[in-house]
Amino acid sequence: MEKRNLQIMVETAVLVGAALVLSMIRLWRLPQGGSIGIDMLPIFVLAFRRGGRVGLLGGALFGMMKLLTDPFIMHPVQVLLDYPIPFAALGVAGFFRNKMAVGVVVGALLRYLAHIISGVVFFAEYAPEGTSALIYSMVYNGTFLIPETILVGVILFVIRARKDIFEPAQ
Amino acid sequence: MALFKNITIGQYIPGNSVIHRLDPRTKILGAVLLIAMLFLVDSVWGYLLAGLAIFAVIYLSEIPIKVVLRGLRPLFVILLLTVSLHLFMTEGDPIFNVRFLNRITWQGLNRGVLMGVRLALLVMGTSLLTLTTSPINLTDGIESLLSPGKRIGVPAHELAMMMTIALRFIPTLLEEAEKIMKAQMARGADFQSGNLVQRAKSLIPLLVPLFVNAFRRADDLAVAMEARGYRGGEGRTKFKELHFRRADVFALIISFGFVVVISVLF
Repeated sequence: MEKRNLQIMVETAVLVGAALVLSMIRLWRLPQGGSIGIDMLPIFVLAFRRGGRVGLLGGALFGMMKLLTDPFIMHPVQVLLDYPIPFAALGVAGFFRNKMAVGVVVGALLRYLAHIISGVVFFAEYAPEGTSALIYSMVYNGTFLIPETILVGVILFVIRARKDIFEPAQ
Repeated sequence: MALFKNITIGQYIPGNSVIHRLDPRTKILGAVLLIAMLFLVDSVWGYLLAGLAIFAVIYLSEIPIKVVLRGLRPLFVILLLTVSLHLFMTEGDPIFNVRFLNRITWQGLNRGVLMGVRLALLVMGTSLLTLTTSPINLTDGIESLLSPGKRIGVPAHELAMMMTIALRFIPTLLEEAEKIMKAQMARGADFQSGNLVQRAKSLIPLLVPLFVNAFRRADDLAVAMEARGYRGGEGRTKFKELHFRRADVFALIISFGFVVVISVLF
């Protein structure tokens, strides 16, 4: 294995570990049971440091690890749309390395989209016809994703100039 | 230190039951079969039998039923919503002939309860997998199940290696985060008060050293792996190998047979 690839692989793994650690911190509890945390941060950091492809991989891996440690399985399609896909979507931010703000917004929007579709799939399966699944899913997912994105965005904005975080050595 | 209080990684409850001792691959396949079964059956008897089977596995796993039921708690709102939506919105024969209540129909009650039961059984059944299998064992199982995909370019070994490293680093990073927090609190940092943005900013003195140290550790590990001749999955041997035992074959045949029979009959 090439040295650089090994380094990227290990970095991805350690940052996924960091994301799992941060996902245990609950900064704010929401009334309907969700909570606000900063587990998206390491995935964004990885994406901006190593680019979009590594970001996609790291995000998907984080989603899979979440599934392994704390699964919530209601529908086969919902599993994909709630675990690997939304977090991989965050990695897309890495394709906007020179415009971090755009990257964060695009990544978070794509994640939002995945969760919304997941909600719609869930409703199509479990709710009777005529329920306005789309609106409900948009509101529900927005309640935690919007504040989380603002939180992570603020942190990224403050630390954006740190070369020891965003630029790999050599 | 309240931020990191009472932390557990995953749900694994160590034990030595028949279910605990099964090969992780058997249990992963079993969970997949369970999901398929719950989407194939569509009658009261089907769900009843599926439920009995799941409770039998819970009994065999020696996991306290309370623990399994606790996993349903986050489902409560969704469950309530599902049942009541069906109850009020399904067309059919009203249960009560009273003004507002005549929207509740027998058909709705039937659908609502069945859907609620299916949801609860899905969540309970699949959580048995992570309750009885440690994350590291699951990772081994996933690597082995994905390895046929190597020929079409699925990096099964690399993915499993990354998952293992991530798991291995959780306690290390937690300890480090705690150390940094104590150091910053000694300098007067306050992690617990203020609004959302203030709290985000207060986390920065924790996060920056955490990331910098994480990258340093990753670098050290990469060098150490290279120095020991790590070349990826090709020809790599294992200290603990997975073995299919007779119990695994038995469990797979029984689950597969059960799923086929009850999906066909119910």
